[in-house]
Amino acid sequence: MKCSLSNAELNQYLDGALSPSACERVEQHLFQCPTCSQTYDALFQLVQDLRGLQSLQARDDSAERVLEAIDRGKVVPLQTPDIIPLRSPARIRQVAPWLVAACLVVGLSMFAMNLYKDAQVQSQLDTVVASAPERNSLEDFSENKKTTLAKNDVEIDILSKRVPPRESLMDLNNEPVSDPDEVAGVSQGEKREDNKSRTKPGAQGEGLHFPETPDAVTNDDIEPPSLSRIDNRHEELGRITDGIASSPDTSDEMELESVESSTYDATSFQKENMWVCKVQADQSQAVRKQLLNVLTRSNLQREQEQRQRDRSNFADRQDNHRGQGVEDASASMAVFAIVQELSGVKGVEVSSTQQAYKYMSEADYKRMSKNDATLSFGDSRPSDLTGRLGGRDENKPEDRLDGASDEDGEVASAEDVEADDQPDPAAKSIKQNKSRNPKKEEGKPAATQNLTGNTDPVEEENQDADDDEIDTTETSESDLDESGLDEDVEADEDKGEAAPSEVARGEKAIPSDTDDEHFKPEGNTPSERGHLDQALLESGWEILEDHETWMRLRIGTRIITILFTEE
Amino acid sequence: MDRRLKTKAVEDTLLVEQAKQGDLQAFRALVERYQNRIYNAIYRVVGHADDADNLLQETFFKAYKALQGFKEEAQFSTWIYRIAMNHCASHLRKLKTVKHQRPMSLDAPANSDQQSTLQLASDIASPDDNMIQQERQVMIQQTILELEPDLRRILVLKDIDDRSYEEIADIIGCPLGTVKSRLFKARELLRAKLTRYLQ
Repeated sequence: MKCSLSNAELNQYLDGALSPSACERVEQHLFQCPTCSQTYDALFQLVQDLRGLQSLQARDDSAERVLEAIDRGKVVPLQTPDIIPLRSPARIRQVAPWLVAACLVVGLSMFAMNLYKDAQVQSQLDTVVASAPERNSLEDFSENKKTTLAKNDVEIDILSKRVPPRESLMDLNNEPVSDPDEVAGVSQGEKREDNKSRTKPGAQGEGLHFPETPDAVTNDDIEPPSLSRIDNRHEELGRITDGIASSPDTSDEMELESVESSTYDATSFQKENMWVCKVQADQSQAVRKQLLNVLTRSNLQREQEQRQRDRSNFADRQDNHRGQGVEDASASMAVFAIVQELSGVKGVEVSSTQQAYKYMSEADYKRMSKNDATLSFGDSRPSDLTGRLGGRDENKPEDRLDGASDEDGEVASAEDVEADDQPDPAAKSIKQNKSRNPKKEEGKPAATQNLTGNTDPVEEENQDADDDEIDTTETSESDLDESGLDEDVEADEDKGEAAPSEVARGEKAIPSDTDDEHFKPEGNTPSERGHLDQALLESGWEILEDHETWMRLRIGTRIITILFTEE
Repeated sequence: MDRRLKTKAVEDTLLVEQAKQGDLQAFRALVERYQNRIYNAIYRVVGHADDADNLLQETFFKAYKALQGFKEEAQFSTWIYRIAMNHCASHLRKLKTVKHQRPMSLDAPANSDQQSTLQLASDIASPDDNMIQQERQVMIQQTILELEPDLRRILVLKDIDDRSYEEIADIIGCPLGTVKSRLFKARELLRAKLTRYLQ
């Protein structure tokens, strides 16, 4: 059923805008039509709600503000911040800079954190690497190894700085010498024959700043090492051997730093270089034999023989004591024992190269410093030094002519006795040469000695080469026969021609008085010396320098200087 | 027109005359006489207290400026309401153009199809014993703001400010039938909205 009452009439009825007749008609319809009545009730409720809204009051100062606006000519609006939608462009423009700034701050913070972490990790790595013992040990070991290896190579250079200059050496000759024998130019060999005036090598050059060598001893003092001393050394060797045996890192090649010896109270440099030996384990006995043979090659024949006897006794005692003998000891121990033994034998001194310089001439020293340790010395030993240090100067007439007046050893000894009373430099020089190499002096013709004592450079060079070859000969202990040697030499000289092997070497094979500075085979044939040198080479030893009173041996990078003192 | 309204109209005419002669106190009397009613109407139309206050200031400022051109043919109240509603319309158009939004109430419906705003006035009395009625008033105000501005102004003038159709026609400046049709339409929309929200 369609209602005849419109929405407009219903609203007007509600507002009281209808006429009285229209109102009566609407009222009747509303009474009959529940739908229109319900709608009217909703409108009436809505209007009542709208009219029931609370009446708002303006601000109390609105009137004043209006008047102020009138006075100013314009209205001053209240400052209220505008609220911008989050997704509006204005909002984005307002917020974007702050967002960018926040992103930058966060990014920079993260970057800084990464850098800080990297720095921390790097510092920790550096700390760990720096504190790594292996690295330090390796570096130290490498550095020490370099130092050790280079030590012997630069030994001459270093020592050249420690040896006083030429002026000091020359001043040494001008110094007043309290010892009449030194003033007279008596050599140490001559003194040795005297068995009376014994001076220690270090005292010979007080002007030099070399460390003092052990006190000299006389021939009377030459005696086998005491049993207690041998026992002490054996105990020392036993301790070292035990230490090596307990060490897990035992190799064929062993490097032994010698213990500090009070006998050689040298500088720390000398201590480091004095007893450094390096031998191969399977060559210990060979080295020992070579060293013993080297000792026997000295012109100090009697002392050598005595030392050999002492050494044999020492070896026997060692064998008895240890049961296995020195063969059971390591190579380094063997060499160390030999060195210790040699150092303990009176009249033999195993010293450093620097100490050996005291017995060299300045020319030799210069050569040695300039060149290498393998340089063989020439014949031009200065007389000023050789006269005092036991060497000989071929430039001196008395030295060159000493061979011409050689007599047998007994006569020489008698002359030496006379020389003690008469300090004649020339006579003493002759006696010195006799005492140092009586065999050669006895068998050498004067003409031959003068020939070899000339200063012809060519001959000197040839002589040096000849000396080198001669040095390669070997002299064994059992072959030592002075008479036989003398006979051989005399026989060769009497023949006026050199032996077949010497023919190849020319006339340089003929021994001369200049050879007394170098090793001369006494009682050994060239073939024997060649055998000895071959054995030395096979055992790893190399004869760098072979002189009358000292020699230098090298094995590997280690150099040992064996000094044969005459005290 | 009853006697009370006639007396009030006479008084407005006298005050207007005095204000035209430069009597600010007379104009001040006019302001104090109509500021609450105009403020309430403006607030119901724009839904923001500060904007309503600013619009109120501008309305009276503009009325003072145009007071010399005010003719005695209409009542002062109608004339001042016209100025206010025109400012409200202009303000709403500006807000819609710049898409500025005023602080919205947390009670605003999420599915509102209009960018209307709702803000409770700070000086609204909200008795504790009538919390439900207050919430209903907030809901009604929010629904009013969802109406078109033209419908909103007519609805406010008629049902809130209790103006007659003729006065609304004079204030809005449109025919009487248009006022009635818009009023009836506004009531119907508002009732439908309220019925949906209240359910």
